[in-house]
Amino acid sequence: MTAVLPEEFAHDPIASHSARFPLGQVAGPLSQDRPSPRGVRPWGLVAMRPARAQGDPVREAFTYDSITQTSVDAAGRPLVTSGATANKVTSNDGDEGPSEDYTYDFCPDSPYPV
Amino acid sequence: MSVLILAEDVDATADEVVRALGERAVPVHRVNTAWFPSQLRLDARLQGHRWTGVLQTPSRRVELEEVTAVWYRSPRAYRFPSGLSDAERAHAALEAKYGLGGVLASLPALWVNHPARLADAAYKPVQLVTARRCGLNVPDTLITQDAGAVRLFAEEGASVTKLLGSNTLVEQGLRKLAFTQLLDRDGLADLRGIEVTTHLVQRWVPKAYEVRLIVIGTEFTAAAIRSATPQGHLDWRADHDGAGYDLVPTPAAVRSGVAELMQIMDLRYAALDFVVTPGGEWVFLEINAGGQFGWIQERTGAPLIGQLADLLARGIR
Repeated sequence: MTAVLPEEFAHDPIASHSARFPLGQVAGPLSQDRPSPRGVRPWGLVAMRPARAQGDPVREAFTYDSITQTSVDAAGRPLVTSGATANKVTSNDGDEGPSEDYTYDFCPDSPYPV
Repeated sequence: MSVLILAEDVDATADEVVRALGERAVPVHRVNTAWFPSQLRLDARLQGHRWTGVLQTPSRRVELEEVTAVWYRSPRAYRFPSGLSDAERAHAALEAKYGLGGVLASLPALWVNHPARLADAAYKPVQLVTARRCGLNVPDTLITQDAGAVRLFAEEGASVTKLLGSNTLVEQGLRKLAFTQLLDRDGLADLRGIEVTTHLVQRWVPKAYEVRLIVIGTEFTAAAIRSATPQGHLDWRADHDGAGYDLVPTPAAVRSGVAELMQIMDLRYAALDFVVTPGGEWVFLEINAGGQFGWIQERTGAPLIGQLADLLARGIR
Protein backbone atom coordinates (compact mmCIF):
# COMPACT_ATOMS: atom_id res chain seq x y z
CA MET A 1 0.00 0.00 0.00
CA THR A 2 1.20 3.47 -0.80
CA ALA A 3 1.49 5.93 2.05
CA VAL A 4 -0.94 8.81 2.09
CA LEU A 5 1.48 11.68 1.70
CA PRO A 6 0.66 15.03 3.24
CA GLU A 7 0.63 16.74 -0.14
CA GLU A 8 -1.43 19.73 0.81
CA PHE A 9 0.96 20.66 3.59
CA ALA A 10 4.29 19.34 2.39
CA HIS A 11 4.00 20.90 -1.06
CA ASP A 12 3.28 24.29 0.39
CA PRO A 13 6.41 25.69 2.05
CA ILE A 14 4.58 27.85 4.57
CA ALA A 15 1.14 27.50 6.08
CA SER A 16 -1.30 26.39 3.42
CA HIS A 17 -4.99 27.02 3.15
CA SER A 18 -5.37 23.60 4.74
CA ALA A 19 -3.43 24.69 7.78
CA ARG A 20 -5.86 27.49 8.43
CA PHE A 21 -8.49 25.02 9.53
CA PRO A 22 -6.45 21.94 10.30
CA LEU A 23 -8.24 18.65 10.75
CA GLY A 24 -6.70 15.42 11.96
CA GLN A 25 -6.98 12.53 9.57
CA VAL A 26 -9.50 9.87 10.37
CA ALA A 27 -7.70 6.62 11.16
CA GLY A 28 -7.26 4.41 8.14
CA PRO A 29 -5.12 1.53 6.90
CA LEU A 30 -1.53 1.65 8.09
CA SER A 31 1.12 2.37 5.49
CA GLN A 32 3.12 -0.68 4.51
CA ASP A 33 5.90 1.36 2.90
CA ARG A 34 9.40 0.18 3.67
CA PRO A 35 12.21 2.51 4.79
CA SER A 36 14.44 3.79 2.01
CA PRO A 37 18.14 2.90 2.00
CA ARG A 38 20.51 4.88 4.18
CA GLY A 39 21.42 8.03 2.32
CA VAL A 40 18.06 8.28 0.67
CA ARG A 41 16.10 8.24 3.90
CA PRO A 42 16.23 11.55 5.80
CA TRP A 43 18.92 11.41 8.49
CA GLY A 44 16.44 12.60 11.10
CA LEU A 45 14.58 9.32 10.84
CA VAL A 46 17.57 7.25 11.95
CA ALA A 47 16.24 7.13 15.50
CA MET A 48 12.74 5.99 14.53
CA ARG A 49 11.76 2.88 16.46
CA PRO A 50 8.48 1.00 16.62
CA ALA A 51 6.34 2.22 19.49
CA ARG A 52 6.00 -0.27 22.33
CA ALA A 53 2.26 -0.41 21.83
CA GLN A 54 0.60 -0.63 18.45
CA GLY A 55 -3.04 -0.16 17.65
CA ASP A 56 -5.46 2.06 19.46
CA PRO A 57 -7.27 0.06 22.12
CA VAL A 58 -9.01 3.00 23.74
CA ARG A 59 -10.48 4.37 20.56
CA GLU A 60 -11.55 0.86 19.65
CA ALA A 61 -13.22 0.22 22.99
CA PHE A 62 -15.06 3.53 23.40
CA THR A 63 -17.60 5.38 21.31
CA TYR A 64 -19.09 8.81 21.42
CA ASP A 65 -22.41 9.21 23.23
CA SER A 66 -24.35 12.13 21.79
CA ILE A 67 -26.50 12.55 24.91
CA THR A 68 -23.71 13.07 27.42
CA GLN A 69 -21.30 14.36 24.74
CA THR A 70 -18.64 12.08 26.19
CA SER A 71 -17.17 8.66 25.41
CA VAL A 72 -18.50 5.42 26.85
CA ASP A 73 -17.71 1.75 26.46
CA ALA A 74 -20.11 -0.96 25.37
CA ALA A 75 -21.49 -1.20 28.90
CA GLY A 76 -22.07 2.53 29.08
CA ARG A 77 -19.15 3.22 31.40
CA PRO A 78 -17.59 6.67 30.84
CA LEU A 79 -14.07 6.88 29.51
CA VAL A 80 -13.17 9.36 32.23
CA THR A 81 -13.76 6.74 34.92
CA SER A 82 -11.79 4.03 33.15
CA GLY A 83 -8.37 5.25 34.18
CA ALA A 84 -7.30 5.39 30.56
CA THR A 85 -5.10 8.32 29.70
CA ALA A 86 -6.23 8.60 26.10
CA ASN A 87 -5.67 12.11 24.84
CA LYS A 88 -4.17 13.29 28.08
CA VAL A 89 -0.53 12.37 27.70
CA THR A 90 2.14 13.55 25.35
CA SER A 91 3.86 10.78 23.41
CA ASN A 92 3.42 8.23 26.13
CA ASP A 93 4.44 5.38 23.87
CA GLY A 94 2.46 3.18 26.18
CA ASP A 95 -0.89 1.56 26.07
CA GLU A 96 -2.97 4.33 24.62
CA GLY A 97 -2.14 4.19 20.96
CA PRO A 98 -1.24 7.31 19.05
CA SER A 99 -1.32 10.26 21.37
CA GLU A 100 1.51 12.39 20.12
CA ASP A 101 1.35 16.09 20.58
CA TYR A 102 1.33 16.82 16.90
CA THR A 103 -2.22 15.61 16.67
CA TYR A 104 -3.18 18.61 18.71
CA ASP A 105 -0.48 21.12 17.98
CA PHE A 106 -1.08 20.94 14.32
CA CYS A 107 -3.25 18.55 12.43
CA PRO A 108 -3.22 19.03 8.66
CA ASP A 109 -5.82 17.16 6.69
CA SER A 110 -3.44 14.56 5.39
CA PRO A 111 -0.77 13.73 7.93
CA TYR A 112 0.80 10.33 8.03
CA PRO A 113 -1.87 7.73 8.59
CA VAL A 114 -2.05 6.77 12.25
CA MET B 1 -24.17 32.02 25.34
CA SER B 2 -22.70 28.63 24.56
CA VAL B 3 -19.32 26.95 24.27
CA LEU B 4 -18.46 25.04 21.13
CA ILE B 5 -15.92 22.24 21.51
CA LEU B 6 -14.42 20.92 18.30
CA ALA B 7 -12.92 17.56 19.20
CA GLU B 8 -12.66 14.00 18.03
CA ASP B 9 -15.10 11.40 19.32
CA VAL B 10 -12.91 9.66 21.88
CA ASP B 11 -11.00 12.14 23.99
CA ALA B 12 -10.90 11.83 27.77
CA THR B 13 -9.78 15.41 28.31
CA ALA B 14 -12.61 16.74 26.16
CA ASP B 15 -15.00 14.56 28.18
CA GLU B 16 -13.81 16.18 31.39
CA VAL B 17 -14.13 19.69 30.02
CA VAL B 18 -17.69 18.92 28.88
CA ARG B 19 -18.44 17.72 32.38
CA ALA B 20 -16.81 20.76 34.01
CA LEU B 21 -18.81 23.13 31.84
CA GLY B 22 -21.96 21.22 32.76
CA GLU B 23 -21.13 21.65 36.43
CA ARG B 24 -20.93 25.39 35.77
CA ALA B 25 -24.32 25.31 34.02
CA VAL B 26 -22.72 26.52 30.79
CA PRO B 27 -24.40 25.31 27.59
CA VAL B 28 -21.84 23.26 25.66
CA HIS B 29 -21.93 21.73 22.21
CA ARG B 30 -19.31 19.17 21.32
CA VAL B 31 -18.89 18.63 17.60
CA ASN B 32 -16.50 16.56 15.52
CA THR B 33 -15.99 17.83 11.99
CA ALA B 34 -15.59 14.18 10.95
CA TRP B 35 -19.38 14.00 11.20
CA PHE B 36 -19.63 16.28 8.15
CA PRO B 37 -21.55 15.97 5.88
CA SER B 38 -23.73 13.02 6.88
CA GLN B 39 -24.18 13.83 10.58
CA LEU B 40 -23.27 17.50 10.61
CA ARG B 41 -24.98 20.16 8.54
CA LEU B 42 -24.34 23.85 8.20
CA ASP B 43 -26.88 26.49 7.29
CA ALA B 44 -25.28 29.91 7.62
CA ARG B 45 -26.15 33.30 6.24
CA LEU B 46 -24.16 36.51 6.29
CA GLN B 47 -26.23 39.04 8.16
CA GLY B 48 -24.88 42.37 9.31
CA HIS B 49 -21.32 41.88 10.46
CA ARG B 50 -21.42 38.17 11.16
CA TRP B 51 -22.48 34.73 10.07
CA THR B 52 -25.75 33.60 11.53
CA GLY B 53 -27.50 30.27 11.31
CA VAL B 54 -27.11 26.81 12.67
CA LEU B 55 -24.82 23.87 12.93
CA GLN B 56 -27.03 20.82 13.13
CA THR B 57 -26.33 17.27 14.28
CA PRO B 58 -28.93 14.52 14.70
CA SER B 59 -29.22 15.37 18.38
CA ARG B 60 -28.05 18.96 18.68
CA ARG B 61 -28.66 22.39 17.19
CA VAL B 62 -25.92 24.98 17.57
CA GLU B 63 -27.02 28.56 17.01
CA LEU B 64 -23.97 30.30 15.63
CA GLU B 65 -24.94 33.66 17.15
CA GLU B 66 -24.91 32.14 20.62
CA VAL B 67 -21.37 30.78 20.50
CA THR B 68 -19.19 32.86 22.80
CA ALA B 69 -16.18 30.54 23.07
CA VAL B 70 -14.65 27.80 20.98
CA TRP B 71 -12.18 25.18 22.17
CA TYR B 72 -10.37 23.97 19.08
CA ARG B 73 -9.22 20.68 20.49
CA SER B 74 -8.60 18.16 17.71
CA PRO B 75 -11.45 17.86 15.22
CA ARG B 76 -11.03 15.26 12.52
CA ALA B 77 -11.19 15.39 8.74
CA TYR B 78 -14.52 15.36 6.95
CA ARG B 79 -15.84 11.98 5.80
CA PHE B 80 -17.42 11.98 2.39
CA PRO B 81 -19.53 9.30 0.73
CA SER B 82 -17.49 6.35 -0.48
CA GLY B 83 -18.86 6.68 -4.02
CA LEU B 84 -16.91 9.86 -4.72
CA SER B 85 -13.90 9.76 -7.02
CA ASP B 86 -10.60 11.06 -5.65
CA ALA B 87 -11.01 14.30 -7.58
CA GLU B 88 -14.57 14.73 -6.34
CA ARG B 89 -13.50 13.98 -2.78
CA ALA B 90 -10.72 16.57 -2.96
CA HIS B 91 -13.19 19.09 -4.34
CA ALA B 92 -15.73 18.37 -1.60
CA ALA B 93 -13.04 18.59 1.10
CA LEU B 94 -11.79 21.94 -0.12
CA GLU B 95 -15.29 23.37 -0.42
CA ALA B 96 -16.08 22.15 3.10
CA LYS B 97 -12.86 23.62 4.45
CA TYR B 98 -13.59 27.02 3.01
CA GLY B 99 -17.30 26.77 3.73
CA LEU B 100 -17.73 25.09 7.13
CA GLY B 101 -14.19 25.88 8.26
CA GLY B 102 -14.46 29.44 7.05
CA VAL B 103 -17.75 30.14 8.78
CA LEU B 104 -16.56 28.65 12.05
CA ALA B 105 -13.16 30.36 11.91
CA SER B 106 -14.90 33.72 11.51
CA LEU B 107 -17.09 33.38 14.60
CA PRO B 108 -16.51 36.37 16.90
CA ALA B 109 -15.85 34.18 19.93
CA LEU B 110 -13.04 33.55 22.36
CA TRP B 111 -10.90 30.96 20.57
CA VAL B 112 -8.77 28.52 22.54
CA ASN B 113 -6.95 28.62 20.22
CA HIS B 114 -7.89 29.95 16.83
CA PRO B 115 -6.87 27.34 14.23
CA ALA B 116 -4.89 29.84 12.21
CA ARG B 117 -2.85 30.65 15.30
CA LEU B 118 -2.27 26.93 15.84
CA ALA B 119 -0.87 26.77 12.34
CA ASP B 120 1.46 29.68 12.98
CA ALA B 121 2.61 28.22 16.29
CA ALA B 122 3.44 24.85 14.73
CA TYR B 123 6.64 26.26 13.26
CA LYS B 124 9.42 25.60 15.75
CA PRO B 125 11.83 28.13 14.22
CA VAL B 126 9.15 30.78 14.69
CA GLN B 127 8.68 29.67 18.29
CA LEU B 128 12.39 29.79 19.09
CA VAL B 129 13.12 33.19 17.63
CA THR B 130 9.97 34.72 19.08
CA ALA B 131 10.76 33.28 22.51
CA ARG B 132 14.24 34.77 22.37
CA ARG B 133 12.80 38.16 21.40
CA CYS B 134 10.55 37.88 24.44
CA GLY B 135 13.58 37.59 26.68
CA LEU B 136 13.43 33.85 27.30
CA ASN B 137 16.60 31.78 27.37
CA VAL B 138 16.69 29.65 24.22
CA PRO B 139 19.44 27.14 23.38
CA ASP B 140 21.68 27.80 20.41
CA THR B 141 20.03 26.06 17.50
CA LEU B 142 21.05 25.05 13.99
CA ILE B 143 18.67 24.18 11.16
CA THR B 144 20.49 22.86 8.15
CA GLN B 145 20.94 20.28 5.42
CA ASP B 146 24.70 20.59 5.63
CA ALA B 147 26.71 17.82 7.29
CA GLY B 148 29.73 20.10 7.76
CA ALA B 149 27.62 22.65 9.60
CA VAL B 150 26.32 19.95 11.94
CA ARG B 151 29.81 18.71 12.77
CA LEU B 152 31.09 22.25 13.34
CA PHE B 153 28.16 22.97 15.66
CA ALA B 154 28.73 19.74 17.55
CA GLU B 155 32.41 20.54 18.04
CA GLU B 156 31.39 23.62 19.99
CA GLY B 157 29.53 21.63 22.63
CA ALA B 158 27.28 18.69 23.40
CA SER B 159 24.35 18.69 21.02
CA VAL B 160 21.04 16.97 20.46
CA THR B 161 18.81 16.52 17.47
CA LYS B 162 15.06 16.48 17.47
CA LEU B 163 12.43 16.60 14.80
CA LEU B 164 10.89 19.87 13.72
CA GLY B 165 7.45 18.44 13.20
CA SER B 166 5.88 15.12 14.00
CA ASN B 167 7.94 12.63 15.99
CA THR B 168 5.92 9.77 14.61
CA LEU B 169 5.88 7.88 11.35
CA VAL B 170 3.89 4.94 10.08
CA GLU B 171 5.58 2.45 7.80
CA GLN B 172 5.77 -1.32 7.51
CA GLY B 173 2.40 -1.41 9.23
CA LEU B 174 3.93 -0.03 12.41
CA ARG B 175 3.72 3.25 14.26
CA LYS B 176 7.22 4.46 14.94
CA LEU B 177 8.49 7.15 17.30
CA ALA B 178 11.68 9.15 17.63
CA PHE B 179 12.64 11.15 20.67
CA THR B 180 15.43 13.65 21.25
CA GLN B 181 18.83 12.11 20.48
CA LEU B 182 22.21 13.08 21.87
CA LEU B 183 24.71 13.38 19.04
CA ASP B 184 27.66 11.13 19.65
CA ARG B 185 30.78 10.37 17.66
CA ASP B 186 29.19 7.47 15.81
CA GLY B 187 26.17 9.50 14.88
CA LEU B 188 28.23 12.38 13.61
CA ALA B 189 30.38 10.04 11.53
CA ASP B 190 27.47 9.03 9.35
CA LEU B 191 25.23 11.92 8.40
CA ARG B 192 24.02 10.43 5.14
CA GLY B 193 20.56 11.68 4.31
CA ILE B 194 20.97 15.00 6.06
CA GLU B 195 20.82 16.77 2.71
CA VAL B 196 17.38 15.32 1.97
CA THR B 197 15.56 17.81 4.17
CA THR B 198 16.12 20.31 6.95
CA HIS B 199 17.28 19.03 10.33
CA LEU B 200 17.35 20.69 13.73
CA VAL B 201 20.40 20.41 15.96
CA GLN B 202 20.42 22.12 19.31
CA ARG B 203 22.88 22.67 22.12
CA TRP B 204 22.34 20.22 24.97
CA VAL B 205 21.28 22.05 28.11
CA PRO B 206 22.52 20.61 31.43
CA LYS B 207 19.39 19.53 33.22
CA ALA B 208 18.28 19.32 36.83
CA TYR B 209 14.73 18.63 35.73
CA GLU B 210 12.23 19.65 33.07
CA VAL B 211 9.07 21.68 33.34
CA ARG B 212 5.81 21.58 31.48
CA LEU B 213 4.28 24.99 31.96
CA ILE B 214 0.55 25.11 31.29
CA VAL B 215 -0.85 28.54 30.52
CA ILE B 216 -4.63 28.88 30.48
CA GLY B 217 -5.70 32.48 30.05
CA THR B 218 -3.77 34.26 32.79
CA GLU B 219 -3.26 31.13 34.92
CA PHE B 220 0.26 29.68 35.00
CA THR B 221 0.83 26.13 36.28
CA ALA B 222 4.37 24.76 36.21
CA ALA B 223 4.92 21.05 36.74
CA ALA B 224 8.45 19.81 37.32
CA ILE B 225 9.10 16.52 35.55
CA ARG B 226 11.87 14.55 37.20
CA SER B 227 13.01 11.57 35.20
CA ALA B 228 14.62 8.57 36.81
CA THR B 229 16.12 6.90 33.75
CA PRO B 230 18.84 7.99 31.28
CA GLN B 231 16.35 7.89 28.43
CA GLY B 232 13.87 9.98 30.37
CA HIS B 233 16.60 12.42 31.37
CA LEU B 234 17.28 13.04 27.69
CA ASP B 235 13.61 13.31 26.74
CA TRP B 236 10.90 12.87 29.38
CA ARG B 237 8.38 11.83 26.72
CA ALA B 238 10.31 8.59 26.40
CA ASP B 239 9.67 7.55 30.00
CA HIS B 240 6.36 8.71 31.36
CA ASP B 241 6.08 5.86 33.81
CA GLY B 242 9.43 6.58 35.42
CA ALA B 243 8.93 10.31 35.89
CA GLY B 244 7.93 12.11 39.07
CA TYR B 245 5.85 15.27 39.02
CA ASP B 246 5.48 18.20 41.41
CA LEU B 247 4.33 21.77 41.12
CA VAL B 248 6.96 24.51 41.16
CA PRO B 249 6.69 28.31 41.05
CA THR B 250 7.26 30.06 37.74
CA PRO B 251 10.04 32.66 37.99
CA ALA B 252 8.80 36.20 37.40
CA ALA B 253 11.05 36.75 34.38
CA VAL B 254 9.85 33.52 32.76
CA ARG B 255 6.27 34.41 33.45
CA SER B 256 6.74 37.82 31.89
CA GLY B 257 8.46 36.41 28.81
CA VAL B 258 5.86 33.70 28.32
CA ALA B 259 3.02 36.18 28.70
CA GLU B 260 4.56 38.31 25.96
CA LEU B 261 5.11 35.22 23.80
CA MET B 262 1.48 34.20 24.22
CA GLN B 263 0.37 37.70 23.31
CA ILE B 264 2.52 37.88 20.19
CA MET B 265 1.38 34.43 19.06
CA ASP B 266 -2.21 35.31 19.99
CA LEU B 267 -2.68 32.19 22.11
CA ARG B 268 -5.02 31.68 25.07
CA TYR B 269 -3.71 28.23 25.88
CA ALA B 270 -0.30 26.62 25.57
CA ALA B 271 1.85 23.88 27.07
CA LEU B 272 5.45 25.02 27.13
CA ASP B 273 8.49 22.87 27.75
CA PHE B 274 11.52 24.12 29.65
CA VAL B 275 14.75 22.66 30.93
CA VAL B 276 15.76 23.86 34.38
CA THR B 277 19.53 23.78 34.76
CA PRO B 278 21.32 22.74 37.96
CA GLY B 279 21.82 26.47 38.53
CA GLY B 280 18.09 27.09 38.38
CA GLU B 281 17.95 28.79 34.99
CA TRP B 282 14.85 28.09 32.91
CA VAL B 283 15.63 27.38 29.24
CA PHE B 284 12.82 27.39 26.70
CA LEU B 285 12.47 24.38 24.42
CA GLU B 286 9.12 24.77 22.74
CA ILE B 287 5.56 25.96 22.96
CA ASN B 288 2.79 23.50 22.16
CA ALA B 289 -0.31 25.49 21.31
CA GLY B 290 -2.45 22.38 21.55
CA GLY B 291 -0.31 20.34 23.91
CA GLN B 292 -1.69 17.83 26.36
CA PHE B 293 -2.33 18.74 29.98
CA GLY B 294 -4.74 16.15 31.37
CA TRP B 295 -2.04 13.98 32.84
CA ILE B 296 -0.45 16.94 34.58
CA GLN B 297 -3.68 17.46 36.49
CA GLU B 298 -3.82 13.78 37.38
CA ARG B 299 -0.22 13.69 38.58
CA THR B 300 -0.19 16.99 40.47
CA GLY B 301 -3.78 17.81 41.34
CA ALA B 302 -3.56 21.20 39.63
CA PRO B 303 -7.10 22.27 38.65
CA LEU B 304 -6.39 22.65 34.93
CA ILE B 305 -9.72 21.33 33.67
CA GLY B 306 -11.49 23.82 35.88
CA GLN B 307 -9.27 26.65 34.70
CA LEU B 308 -10.04 25.86 31.08
CA ALA B 309 -13.76 25.53 31.78
CA ASP B 310 -13.72 28.91 33.55
CA LEU B 311 -11.90 30.53 30.62
CA LEU B 312 -14.36 29.09 28.10
CA ALA B 313 -17.30 30.04 30.29
CA ARG B 314 -16.18 33.65 30.37
CA GLY B 315 -15.82 33.69 26.59
CA ILE B 316 -16.74 36.85 24.78
CA ARG B 317 -19.99 38.30 26.04
